[in-house]
Amino acid sequence: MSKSDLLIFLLEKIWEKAQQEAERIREEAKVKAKEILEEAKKRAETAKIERETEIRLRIRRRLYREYALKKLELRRYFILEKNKALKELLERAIKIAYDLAEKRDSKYLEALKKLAINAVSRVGSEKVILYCCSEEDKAYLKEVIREISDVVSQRRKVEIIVADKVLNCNGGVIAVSADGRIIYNNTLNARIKRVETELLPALLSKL
Amino acid sequence: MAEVLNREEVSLKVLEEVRRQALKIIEEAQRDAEKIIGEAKKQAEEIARLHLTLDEEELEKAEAEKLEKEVEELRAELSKKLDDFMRKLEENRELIIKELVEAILGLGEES
Repeated sequence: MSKSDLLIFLLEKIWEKAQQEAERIREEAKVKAKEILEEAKKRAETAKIERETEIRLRIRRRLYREYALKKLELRRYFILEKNKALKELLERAIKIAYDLAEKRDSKYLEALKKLAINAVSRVGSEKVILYCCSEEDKAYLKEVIREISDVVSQRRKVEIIVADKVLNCNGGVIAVSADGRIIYNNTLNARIKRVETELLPALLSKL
Repeated sequence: MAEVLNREEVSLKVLEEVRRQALKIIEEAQRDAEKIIGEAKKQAEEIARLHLTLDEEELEKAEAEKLEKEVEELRAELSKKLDDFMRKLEENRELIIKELVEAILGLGEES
């Protein structure tokens, strides 16, 4: 290789290397630029989601009260509707029970006896006074007092007295201990209240 | 008086000139690279700015719609439950009344 050939070779190499280096620098910059943009998009997307979540939460908190009240109102309305329907049946049942009591139906008389036994048993004292709702009930209970006494006495000894005074109510009895300290109200009115507070909710959940 | 250069000196001069040109090309490439990256950074800032701009009114509307839908779903669910309840109540109407009458009169209870 002559000196001039060597010189040309060197010149070409320097030029070629410089071109390659310039190309590498530009390509690297393009790759880095792409990375910067991708990273920016990713970060922006995450930030957007975070900000959106934060705004949605803030909005939800503000709207929640309003909609929670709407939901509560709805639930209340449907419970009231169910109660209304059940109450209608209860009203019907009350009418039937009062009618039976008024007509002195055998079913009522059987019930009156049971109500008296139940009331006397609940009071639990040795001497119990029974108050009736009407003169008819009083007369009937006087007739069956022995029977009532026998049933209760199977469990414990008890003296039962039917009070002269009548209560003027719709049926059933009130049992009071002789010292007046224990009272058990087993009138139909009291039982209706118990049915309303105990049986109706049970029926409501059963249905 | 013009300097008379010998062949080696000329070669060195040429080499030096080519080296200078080569460095210029590289510097130019570096400037281009800086420009490309600078441009990308500017675009990245713009992306961040655009993504952070959210239409709060639109979001509120969407949330309200979602909550309204929940209320409607609840209404439909409760309505269905009420219908079922009413149907069962109607089917068992006489039985329930009988049970209530017995409860009022104490007939179902033990003495």
